[in-house]
Amino acid sequence: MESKRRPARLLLIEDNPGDIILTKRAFKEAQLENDLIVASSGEEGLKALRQEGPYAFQPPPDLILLDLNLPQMNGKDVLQAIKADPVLKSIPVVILSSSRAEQDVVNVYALHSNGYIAKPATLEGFKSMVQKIEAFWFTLNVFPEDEEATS
Amino acid sequence: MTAEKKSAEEIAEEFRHYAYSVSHDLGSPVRAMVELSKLLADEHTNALNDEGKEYLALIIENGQRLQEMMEGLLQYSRLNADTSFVKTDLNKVVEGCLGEMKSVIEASQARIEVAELPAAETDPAQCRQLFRLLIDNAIKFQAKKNIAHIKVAAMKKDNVLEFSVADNGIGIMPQHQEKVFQLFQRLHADRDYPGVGVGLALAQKIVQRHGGKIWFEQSAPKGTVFRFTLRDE
Repeated sequence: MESKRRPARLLLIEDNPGDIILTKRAFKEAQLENDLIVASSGEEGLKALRQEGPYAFQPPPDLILLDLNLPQMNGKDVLQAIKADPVLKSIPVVILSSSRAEQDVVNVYALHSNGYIAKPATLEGFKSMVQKIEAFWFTLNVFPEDEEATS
Repeated sequence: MTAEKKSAEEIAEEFRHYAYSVSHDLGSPVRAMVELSKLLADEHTNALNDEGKEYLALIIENGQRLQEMMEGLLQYSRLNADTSFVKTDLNKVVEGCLGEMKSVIEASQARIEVAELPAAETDPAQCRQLFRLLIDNAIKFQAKKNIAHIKVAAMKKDNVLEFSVADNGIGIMPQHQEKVFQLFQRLHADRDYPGVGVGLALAQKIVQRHGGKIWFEQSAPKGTVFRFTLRDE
């Protein structure tokens, strides 16, 4: 367990360029050491997770941040695909959504989401959100060790 | 008859769904506009002359206004969702409301007197919001440097309970009786009393959800008294 900690690996699946910038800025300004990969569609996100095409050498993320409101393959479809995949299903998925509608929350937990965050309204809010994500998922929470680290 | 009733319910549901998705789906692009404009103002201000800076400030201000309006629309549409009525001690409701408003009340030094209130069949959360909206309104619409003095009371009239929230504020012209309760309707310039015109529309909606009526009268010697009714079961 005393292995040297590597930067947290996150995959953000988000299509809104504004929200992508705000999330990136928030991680940068919170000065958290991490590797943030951005996929701008559900299809692209699944490619990254399955290490296809340009993502062939990209190690799988520790945590997936998934926007609910994506075009074509929407957030729920992506969540379903991840949770139906025997390899990917153990990667925690946290939904990021502009909606606080009870039905949306209920629906994604029924699809085995590991968390639900209502998107903050401001950059300050995004900063506070990424700090809390860091504090819970990468400080308090224990992940299984990397295969390459344990083998 | 059933068909007619159903279609009214369907329309209400449709409106709720519409308002909800408008508020949510517009959230992302508006947030991006406002927050990126703020970054532009903070970090690239040297690239702009004074006129440019003024325009940018107006973009941010108007974007934030739009966000407030969308939040108002969302709250308004939420009131169409489930209401759960229980026997409620309104003294406790107002007490909770004043606790929630502590910082606003202290900052304004408002004096608030609450008479003994009855119990009624209400949705307590909506009722607390109702008192909050009316008290907020009374604190806000004061002449400069005037300290708000607000009286909350209730009386029983036939088979209804009539509540009143009276203030010593700037008053409202009687011809605005309808207008003042309309969503996004405002009676003052933003520089005098900033806001987006949501509070009293929400208040009216809550009272209507409870099967009551809301109106205002002029209060003596000056100010406004808002009155609303709730059923006395």
